[in-house]
Amino acid sequence: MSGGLERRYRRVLRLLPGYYREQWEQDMTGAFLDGWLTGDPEADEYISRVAWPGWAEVTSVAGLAARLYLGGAGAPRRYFAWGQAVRRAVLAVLLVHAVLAADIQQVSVSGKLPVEAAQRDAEEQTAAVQEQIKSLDEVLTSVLALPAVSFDRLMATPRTPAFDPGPLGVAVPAPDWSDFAPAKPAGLLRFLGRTARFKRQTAQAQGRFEAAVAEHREHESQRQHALAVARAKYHKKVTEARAQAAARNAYVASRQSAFATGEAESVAWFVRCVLRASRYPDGFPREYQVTYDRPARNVTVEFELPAQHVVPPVRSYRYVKARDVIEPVPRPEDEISQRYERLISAIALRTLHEIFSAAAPEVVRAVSFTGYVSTTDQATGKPVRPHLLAVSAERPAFEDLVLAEVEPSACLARLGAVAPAAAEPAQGDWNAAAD
Amino acid sequence: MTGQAFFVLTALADEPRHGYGIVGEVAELSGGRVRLKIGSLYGVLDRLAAEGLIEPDRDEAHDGRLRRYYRLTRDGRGALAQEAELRAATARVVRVRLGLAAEAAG
Repeated sequence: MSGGLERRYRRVLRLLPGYYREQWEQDMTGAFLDGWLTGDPEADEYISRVAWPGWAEVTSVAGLAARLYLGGAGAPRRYFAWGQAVRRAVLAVLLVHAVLAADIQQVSVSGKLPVEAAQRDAEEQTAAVQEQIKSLDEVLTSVLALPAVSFDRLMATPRTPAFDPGPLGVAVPAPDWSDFAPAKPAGLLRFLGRTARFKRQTAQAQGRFEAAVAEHREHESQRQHALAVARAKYHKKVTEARAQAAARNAYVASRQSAFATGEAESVAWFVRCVLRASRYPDGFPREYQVTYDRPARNVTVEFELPAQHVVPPVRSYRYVKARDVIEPVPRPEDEISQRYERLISAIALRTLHEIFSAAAPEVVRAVSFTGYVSTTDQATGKPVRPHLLAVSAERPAFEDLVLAEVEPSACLARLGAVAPAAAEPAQGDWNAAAD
Repeated sequence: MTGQAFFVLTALADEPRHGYGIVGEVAELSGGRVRLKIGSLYGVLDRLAAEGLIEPDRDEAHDGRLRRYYRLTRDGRGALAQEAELRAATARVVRVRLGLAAEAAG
C-alpha cells in the first residue's frame, strides 16, 4: 500500500552503511511512513504514489551517514575507510564533521581508488578546512552589515502561504474515445465484408474505453478525497498559525513597553533575543546568561565560548601515493592558540556590537561581557566553567571603534579586557561576574 | 547530553513509544520547537541504545508493518533524572540572577 513512497525512502537510506541498515532500516522506514500516511486507505494509496521524501529528511539521513562513515560511536573499525559511498554522502557535511569530531587520524583510502580521485579527495578535504578557517576569521566582520534586531522584527507574521495542492491539484485527463476507435473501412473495403469486422472491433474498443473511463473515475474520486484531506489540514494549520502569531505579538508588545521603562527582566529578555538571533557556525555553543542593572543601565552577559577544538587541528590533507593514504597535515600549536584567541576576542566584540546596536541608548549605556568555556576538570573529573575573558565597554567609546578594521585581540586589550582564567576558581563560578 | 537526546529520553519517561511516536512527543514537549527528522532521530536512538540508556520494548503490528517500541532502561532513567537536575540547577541560578527568586546566590 505504501509501495512507491516506501521505495523512494529506502533508496535514500542506501546512503547508510550496510551494518547500520541491517539493524535500523525497517524501523526508520516505518517511522518515516507513519509521518506521511493518514490511515485513510484511499488518501494513503494516492500519497504513496505521488509523494517524495523532503529535502530536510534526506539531509538528516546524509548527516547520519557522514557520522557513521567517519567511524563515530558504535561503528565497526572498517568504516574508517573512505570509500565510494563516502563521497556519495555529501562530502561537505562529512568534512565539517571530520574536522570537528574526529581526532587527527590517518584515513586509509580503499585500494580500488584511482590516484587522481584520491588527490581530488585530498584537495576537497583541504578546501573544506580552509572554508572553516574563513568562517572563523569572519565571525566579527560578517555581522557588521546586518540590520540590528528590533522589537518590530521580533513580531511574528503568520506564515500563510496559499494552499498548494501539489500533484493532488492536477486532474488526470479523461480517456478520449478517438484513442480507442478502430479505423473505419474506407472505399471499396466497405463492400468486401469489412463492415461486420468494423462493428466487432468497435464493440471491443467500446469495452476497453468504458473500462478506462471507470478506472479514471475511480482515480479521480481518490484524488478528490486526498485533496479534501489536504485542504482541511491546510486550513487547520493556517488558523493555528494566526492564533499563535497574535498571542506572540501581544507578548512582544508587552515586553517592548516594559523595556522602554527599563524593567530589568524585559531588558534581559530582549538582549537574549538579540543573542539568539545571532548566527554562529555550526557546533558553537548557544548558552548565555543575561542580567540588567537598571541604575547603572548596564547589561551583563555571561557567554559560553566554543572550546579550542573549533579551530581545525588540521591545516590540509595530502595524498601519499607510495602508501596510498590521505594524510592530514597538522596545524602548529602556536597557530591554533593564536587563532583561538582571535576568535574569542571577535565573539566578545561581536556580542557588544549586537547589543549596543539593537538596544536603545537610553536603556543600555554599558555592556559587561564575560566569556567562559564548558569543560571537564582533569583533576576532579567534574564539569567546570573557567572564565577566559572579561571586558566592559561604555557605549560612546565602543561606538567610536571602526570594527571592520580592528584586530580583535588588540581591540579588546584597548577596551581593558582581562583574562581572568588563572585567577578563576575551578568551579562554582556561576556568579563570579556579579561580584 | 545534547538537547535532542534529552528530549528523546524525556519522551520515553512515561511510557514506551515507537519512532514516530517519539517525534510527535518531542514536538509536543518542546512546544513545537523541536521537530526531529527521522535521520536525526535514529542518530540519537542508536547512540542512546549503544550507551544502554534505552532498549527495545516490543514490536507491534500496524498497517502491515512492525512498529518497534523503545523504553528507558534503569540507567536511562538515572541519566535523565541527573540531566534534569543539572538543568533545573542551571535554571535556578538564572532565576536568581534575573531577580526572580530570593535565594542567596553565594
